[in-house]
Amino acid sequence: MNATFDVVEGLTLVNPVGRLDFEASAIFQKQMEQVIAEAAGRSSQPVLVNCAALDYVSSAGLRVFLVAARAAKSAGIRFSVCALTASVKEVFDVSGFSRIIDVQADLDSAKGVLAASRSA
Amino acid sequence: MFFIGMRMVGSHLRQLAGSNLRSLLAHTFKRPGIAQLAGFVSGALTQSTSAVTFIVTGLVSAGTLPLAVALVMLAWANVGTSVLVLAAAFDAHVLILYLMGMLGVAFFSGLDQSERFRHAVFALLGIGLLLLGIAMLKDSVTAMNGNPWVVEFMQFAGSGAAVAFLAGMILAIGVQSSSIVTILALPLVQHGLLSMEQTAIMIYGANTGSGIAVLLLASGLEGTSKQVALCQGILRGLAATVLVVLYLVETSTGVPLLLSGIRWLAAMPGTQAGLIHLAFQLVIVVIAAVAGKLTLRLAVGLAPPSQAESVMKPAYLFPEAVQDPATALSLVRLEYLGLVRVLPDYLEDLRPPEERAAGALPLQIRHAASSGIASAIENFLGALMRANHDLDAEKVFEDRSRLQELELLQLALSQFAQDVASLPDTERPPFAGQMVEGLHALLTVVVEAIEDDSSDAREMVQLLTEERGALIERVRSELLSGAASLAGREALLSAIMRFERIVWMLRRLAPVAGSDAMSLAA
Repeated sequence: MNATFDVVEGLTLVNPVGRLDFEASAIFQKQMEQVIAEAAGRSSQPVLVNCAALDYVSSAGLRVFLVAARAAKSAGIRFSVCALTASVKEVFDVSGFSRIIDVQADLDSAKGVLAASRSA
Repeated sequence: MFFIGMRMVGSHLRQLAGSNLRSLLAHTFKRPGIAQLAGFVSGALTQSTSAVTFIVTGLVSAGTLPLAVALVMLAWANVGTSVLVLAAAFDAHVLILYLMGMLGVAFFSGLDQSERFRHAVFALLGIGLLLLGIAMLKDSVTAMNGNPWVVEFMQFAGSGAAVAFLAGMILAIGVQSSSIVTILALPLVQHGLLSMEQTAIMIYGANTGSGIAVLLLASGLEGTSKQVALCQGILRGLAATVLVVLYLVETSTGVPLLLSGIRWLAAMPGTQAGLIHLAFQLVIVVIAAVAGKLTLRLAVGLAPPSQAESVMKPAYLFPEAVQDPATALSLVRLEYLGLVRVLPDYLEDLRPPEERAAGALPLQIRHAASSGIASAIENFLGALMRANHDLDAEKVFEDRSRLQELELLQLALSQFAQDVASLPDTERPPFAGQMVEGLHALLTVVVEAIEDDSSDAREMVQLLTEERGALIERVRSELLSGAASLAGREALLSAIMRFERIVWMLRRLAPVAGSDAMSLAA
């Protein structure tokens, strides 16, 4: 799995591509920890993970999202994921993770929600 | 008649002793010197070395009885089985008449219907039938005594030590008892068809055969369970070696040894045979005392603990800990956490190879190991209560209830995994894999929450385990209209139902007091 990290429109946008399995999870978790630390340094900038190109997520991958969401909450950062593919959404729903992690339908609506929360 | 009696004696005496027999055996190791008595009594009650061996095997496998104590008990159980042989060696005609008279009174007064006395009545009836069977056998042997082919056959069986030994061994393997072979040989001995030397070597063969029978019965076992049977086999093999050597020395050189001693002790051939059988069992006791450690080492070397056994033993509990309730309860907590920690492993067989946790056990072994440890914790809690009458019972009941909930969860996870595993690859929809990964992640979070024991973590579990009715209903209807076979759909629907149940159980496993649940989405 590859991931790109951009700062756009006042938020940190993470774009994972491919399969987030056991092997990829360890690296991705470190990257997310760094992203959240940097976002905290930028006036608690929100972090959005765009999962449009994420084909698969395993239990270990789900844990990365959970750990990132908890770290973001501790740092006072808003954390969201968006544009889940059907299979990834199913895993989020089945595990119940979509109840504790903010899931947005697509990138545009996620950006809108995050922008609104900042201005609120 | 003899065999019917034999079976009745064994089964009804076992019923009579009931769980007390097991309890008697389980508690012996706590009192030095009682192990021998318990072994003797259980041998006398069951009249079967195999039966005692396998009762002891169960106790050793469950960790209730140390193997070293089991060895002593096995040795003395053999001596116990000699009681019937000695009883049968005497002329029992008068005894049978008295016994039958007593039984007639017992049946007439309805004791055979009484829950309390019926096993005693039927055990006595068994003894009566058995003795009557032997008496009839003796009478028929008298009639056969003059039959030329019988004489010829017995001459062949006793023509050489090796033939007599083999005959006894094969018969004992067949009937799985050296006592039966000895008892059956008694009429032949008493009517002079077998000499004392022939009888002795046949009894040695029979005892070796019953050891082989135990080993054959234990051939499907492994680890500790097999070690007990191996001990029995090794002890019998060593005793046979010692006694056969003594026999050969005595018969070839004329030096007075065991056989001469027995002749000096008893003049009647039947009694001599009974004493030879008893001598074999006493040699086993001596060998167990002298070479017990060697026997144990050999048995452990031949059947090392299996993978399942190694992981089935509690990591923290030890019997003496029940004396200190505070320590005991903290050990229970550690053991419980150990069981919780391996809950996600129930799903490892179902996951893609690259996702599996290193060192995770196959489902069957995992479940056996976890169930075994849970039972050990329950037993430990019971012992804790018994040892401390002033203990806060509510705390123990809480722990026990939590443990029972965990056991139900273990079972549900095992059944869920079996349901999913039963689906052929071609019929496994993507949802099955998603359900497995989702549940694995959920289990991982629950494990962390229980280990952390923080209210935040527990609140998160409450959110994660909220009811999923809509999702489950959608998936269920999709599956019903899918292309899978009827059996495939059945397995899938069963897995989904179990999944829902598991989520509900996880919610109960990590409860949170009162407050609103915490969401990371906030």
